[in-house]
Amino acid sequence: MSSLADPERQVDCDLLARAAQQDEAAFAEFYRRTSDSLYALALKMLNDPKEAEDVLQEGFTYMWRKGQSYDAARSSPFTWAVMIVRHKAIDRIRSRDRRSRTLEKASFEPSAFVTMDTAVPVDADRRNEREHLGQALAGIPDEQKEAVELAFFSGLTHEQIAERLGAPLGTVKARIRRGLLRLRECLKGAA
Amino acid sequence: MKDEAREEQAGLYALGLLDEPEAGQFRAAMQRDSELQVLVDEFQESAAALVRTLPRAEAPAGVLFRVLGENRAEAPIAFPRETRASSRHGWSWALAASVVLGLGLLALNTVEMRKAGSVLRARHAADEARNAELVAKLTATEAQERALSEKIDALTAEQRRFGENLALLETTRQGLLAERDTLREQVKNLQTRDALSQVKIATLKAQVDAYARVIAVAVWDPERQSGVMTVENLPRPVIGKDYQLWVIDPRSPAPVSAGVMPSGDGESLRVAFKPARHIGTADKFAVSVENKGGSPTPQGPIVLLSK
Repeated sequence: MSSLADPERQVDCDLLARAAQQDEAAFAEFYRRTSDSLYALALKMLNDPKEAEDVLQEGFTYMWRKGQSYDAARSSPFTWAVMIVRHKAIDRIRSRDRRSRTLEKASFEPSAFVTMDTAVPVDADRRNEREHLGQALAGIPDEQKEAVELAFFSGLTHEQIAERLGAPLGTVKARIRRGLLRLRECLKGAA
Repeated sequence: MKDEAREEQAGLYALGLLDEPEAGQFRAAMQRDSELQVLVDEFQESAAALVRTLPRAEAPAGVLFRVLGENRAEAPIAFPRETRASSRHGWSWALAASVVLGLGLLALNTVEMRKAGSVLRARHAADEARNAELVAKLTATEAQERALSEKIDALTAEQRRFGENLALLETTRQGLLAERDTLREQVKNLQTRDALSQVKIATLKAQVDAYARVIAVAVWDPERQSGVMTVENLPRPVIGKDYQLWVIDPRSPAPVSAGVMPSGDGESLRVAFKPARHIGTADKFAVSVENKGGSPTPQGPIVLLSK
């Protein structure tokens, strides 16, 4: 988990602060640093490149216009951006009347976030970060990872997650809670 | 237990899984309890880290360009409120701001801008190629249209000439038809005149004294191959005999029978006759006395004969 002292986080904060003053160059740099990850998120959630691109555009448009709403004391710029894009993707999923079809389309690959993609070249910092994340996530029980994963990426409600996992609602809620707590601990440990 | 419930709610809220009434209640709880807010923020921070673990995906080119372009297109235009002099100031400021903005944009030496530039260049090249193709097609179409227009003009002129010729020919035809009718009439008249000129009138004279008082005239129409004979003072033939009329044609080896004459009563007799065969030239006419019913060739004495 990135702390306020994290230099990468500080760079992003500076960029966002300048972008909030309509500094296009700063916003462009922030885009360069985050767009691939945010696009991967949208693609993961929607499983449709065109829709993912639309959501990415909507998300960055929101960030450009509402940059001043970012609160550095509450989250990192990356988390802020992730939550905006994720919210846009969920809006898109839930706004569809044909929900079941959308959810089927957004076919879910279990444990995708614990399977590191090493085939695609990434820069050294990003690779180190991913390796640390991988090590941290390895300590989380599978059923908790699965529940958190579904909760975060699928756009399903907790009732639907319970139905999908074939587990009681209370159990699913507990798994999500435990999973998030373990994730928070692991990331703090990794940092 | 109470903490677990709060954590559970915080987790669900952080991931947007609470329905709106539950979320509203939780927001109210967060306002009362700042630790809840911190917990939610940490859960979100933790969950957001999962994005870093996703397979890498390269953001499509052009998104940043569209985001900034959309913002510029929607940016309100500020009109100056001051006098003309201050307006000049304003414009200067705007110009300076534009320069700064332009420089800022130039500073966007990012992968994104390069991607957008290459995409735009590719699109521009494709558009130009498409444009050139369309211009070539348009030029060809215009040339075809011109050629067709010329053909239509030529055909129209030809049609007009044909129309004129047709009218002339029709007039000529009507004239010829009238001339033909006139000629036909003339031919008919001439034929009638010729036919009349060809009619042969012959007077038959008695060849024996007993028929000296007989007056006989034969009129022959060679065109119709028929004739009429008028006879006066012809005595009745003896019983078992008939008078038979003959036409003598030099090209025929024997006289040609023109039929048996009805019995005369000594008064005037008019007999229409038609020879048994075609007569080329009716040289002479003769009447002989033959057995009752006539004979194919003359057997009895000839009592009347023309010159």
